[in-house]
Amino acid sequence: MAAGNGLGAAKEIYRNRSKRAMELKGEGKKVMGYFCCYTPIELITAAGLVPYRIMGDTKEPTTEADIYLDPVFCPYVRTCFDIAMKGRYDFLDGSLWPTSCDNLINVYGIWQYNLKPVYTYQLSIPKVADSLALKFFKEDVGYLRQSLEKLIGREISDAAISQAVERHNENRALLRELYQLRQQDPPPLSGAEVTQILVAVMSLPVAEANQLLRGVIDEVKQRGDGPQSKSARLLISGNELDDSTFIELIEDCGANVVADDMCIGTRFFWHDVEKTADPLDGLTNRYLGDIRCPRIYRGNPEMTRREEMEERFKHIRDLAKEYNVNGAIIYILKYCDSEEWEAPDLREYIQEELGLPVLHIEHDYSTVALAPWRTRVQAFVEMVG
Amino acid sequence: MVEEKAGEGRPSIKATKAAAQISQLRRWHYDRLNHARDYGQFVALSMIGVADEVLRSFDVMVSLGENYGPVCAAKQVSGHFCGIAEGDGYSVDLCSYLKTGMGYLSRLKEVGDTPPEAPYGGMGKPDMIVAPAIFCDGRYKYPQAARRYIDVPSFVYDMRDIPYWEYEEDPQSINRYVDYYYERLKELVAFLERATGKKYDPDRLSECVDLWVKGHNIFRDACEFRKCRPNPLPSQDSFAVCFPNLNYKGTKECVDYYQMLYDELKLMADNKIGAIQDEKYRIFWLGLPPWFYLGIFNYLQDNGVCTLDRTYDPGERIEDVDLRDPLYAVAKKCYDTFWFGSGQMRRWNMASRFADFIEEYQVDGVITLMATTCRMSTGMLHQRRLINEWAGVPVLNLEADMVDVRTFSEAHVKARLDAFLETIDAAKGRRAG
Repeated sequence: MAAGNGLGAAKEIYRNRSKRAMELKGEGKKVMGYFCCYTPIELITAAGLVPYRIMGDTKEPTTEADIYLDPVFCPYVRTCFDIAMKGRYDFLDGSLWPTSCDNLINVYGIWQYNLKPVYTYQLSIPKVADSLALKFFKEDVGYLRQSLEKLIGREISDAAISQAVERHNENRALLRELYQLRQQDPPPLSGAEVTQILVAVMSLPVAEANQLLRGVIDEVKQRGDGPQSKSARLLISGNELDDSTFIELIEDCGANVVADDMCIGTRFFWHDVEKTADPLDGLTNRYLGDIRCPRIYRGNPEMTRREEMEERFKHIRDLAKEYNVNGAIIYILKYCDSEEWEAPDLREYIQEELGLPVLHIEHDYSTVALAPWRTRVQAFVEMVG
Repeated sequence: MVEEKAGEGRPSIKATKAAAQISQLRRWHYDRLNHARDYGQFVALSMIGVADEVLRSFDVMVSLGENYGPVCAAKQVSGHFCGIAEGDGYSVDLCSYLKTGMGYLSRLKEVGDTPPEAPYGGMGKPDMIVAPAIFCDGRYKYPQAARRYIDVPSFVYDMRDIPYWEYEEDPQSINRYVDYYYERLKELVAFLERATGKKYDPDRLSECVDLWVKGHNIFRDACEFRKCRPNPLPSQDSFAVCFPNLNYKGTKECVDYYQMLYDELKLMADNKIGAIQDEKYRIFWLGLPPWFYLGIFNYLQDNGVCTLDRTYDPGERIEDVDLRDPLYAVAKKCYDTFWFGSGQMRRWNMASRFADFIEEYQVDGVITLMATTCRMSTGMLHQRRLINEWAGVPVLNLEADMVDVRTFSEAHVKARLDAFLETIDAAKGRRAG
């Protein structure tokens, strides 16, 4: 049965996010898992498969991963592998693996070897986004398309890709519309609710996700029981935060989280795929060129450091202004080197260029023992407010 | 925990004269870097994997950010520099090679000159940053971060690791990667022309490539002597003799050094001379060493162990380099040397190769160092399990960082090594019985 709509439905899907994918599988659909914002999910949709973002479980002890994965692996990757080993991703018909970071690259073979999935595909992602890299990446996106065609036993037409682009662009437009509501004070929905909605969206076929979002937006526009106005309006920047518990903690401490630069956040949907004669051009430009992840080197030899920082972080400036934030949290999962190398520069930029206070958190993904973090967040929120 | 004391050191004792000379050569290299301007040369802060022969053809010396980490570790000051970088906001989990470089640069900015505690007079004052985006994420993020200390012209260029499965399915697929790299090298040349004010000189580059290939092949052939029993090139030597290959490849000095190493090893092999004559055990050291304590190999040697490794082996031999377009030759040979440790190789592929080495080199056991800040080392746990299963030899994992001595306990490690040797004894006994 298709998902309902509205905040209640989103929360229900968030709590049991595999349910709908498993139902669809029961109906004969194939479900394709994927990692990261760099997977061009339009190709999954165009292939008639259900895209399903692979996430971890912040409350699950990583007993299986401890046997196979070194403790210095990204904790998010560890828990994804852990719950896969425990059979919780057995419903997937395959998975797509962008080479986004060292952790995903290194766990790929371990996943293949130990889980023996029927289908996996590793998509190579350049580290820069200039015209040469875009050309190279387009060829690789073409190879992914061919691989999916082989899997489903038929061609994926340009028309099917263009149609998928349209649906996913609609999805992105709806999410931007939802985000725009957060510019209000008080925001009509909490940051924790936004995380739950995003997780739900990434767990559904795009048409159902769009239906869900339309219901959510209608409800949020009319609701009278949203968050209260608070003196701290925060932006959060970082990587994988696919559980709302940590955001709830921040909001319990007296802040509203109103904007983000996160993997489960704006990086996923902020930019549309341009409609192009060859749909792979639009996909390539958007996925390699537009996603604001620190794994892409942004700069050129002519730039001073200051200019390069502006190029890297100007989207944070825009978000901070549009959402009228007065503080920022840099949230980084441990062992994410791209984010960690970026953090001191980002902190400097936010503090010195934007004039905002910053709290830098290195987290281990688990939400089982958050009490020590509450103290730090409380102190920060008091300082901001 | 062992308390770090600058200058105290735990040096290893080398088996070969060539390895014993490395300390002098290291001093010579850093002296050249620190006085580059006196020789009319430039200094580029860079990373292993950079097209060093291209830089050299423009009179640009390469100062390897990550390679200064082991140098500082050997002199027991890496923890000091890592601590400075951490104080500047860099995570304790980030690569300690690179954090050592960051700490150095931080001090360079603070002092306004080479910090006095920097070994060998420092790693030079970079005129530019040139970084290839390959192997690991830190390799291109670190140079970008370094601009907070040295705001010099910066050129970061992409190289693509070929996914190993792609290479397995179609070896010709590598041409696409070569062509991509070739285009990047053209951009590098344009950058170097601007940064140095010099014109690209293909003849000069051809000379550098020729020397690069000569040095590479001689070093590669020298490494083959490890198969001899007794082994003349144990790990305490192996982790030293890689220095010229990493730091000044493409020079006559590098070629001469490896010729000397080769000749010495051949003489030893011909006369059946090894680091130890009676090898009670042969142990394969897999991965990075604890650079602050290379004496660990001597400790093993004192217990009858010959250690061998392939961590810094140069890769496959290069034949028939076409120098009509030396820049293309640079791109092509990069992928021609494609080796088991490079590319996006799955851990089981690596384990399979290592299992072959273990058989070929008649190894009794394997030791790995889980380098806690090296993200490229992640996956070792899985790899160790497979090696143990496929090669049937005991595998010991030591947990410590590669250069940050703050993570290391010498007494604890020695106790584990002792126990491991007993395990090997038992395993050998089982195999024999």
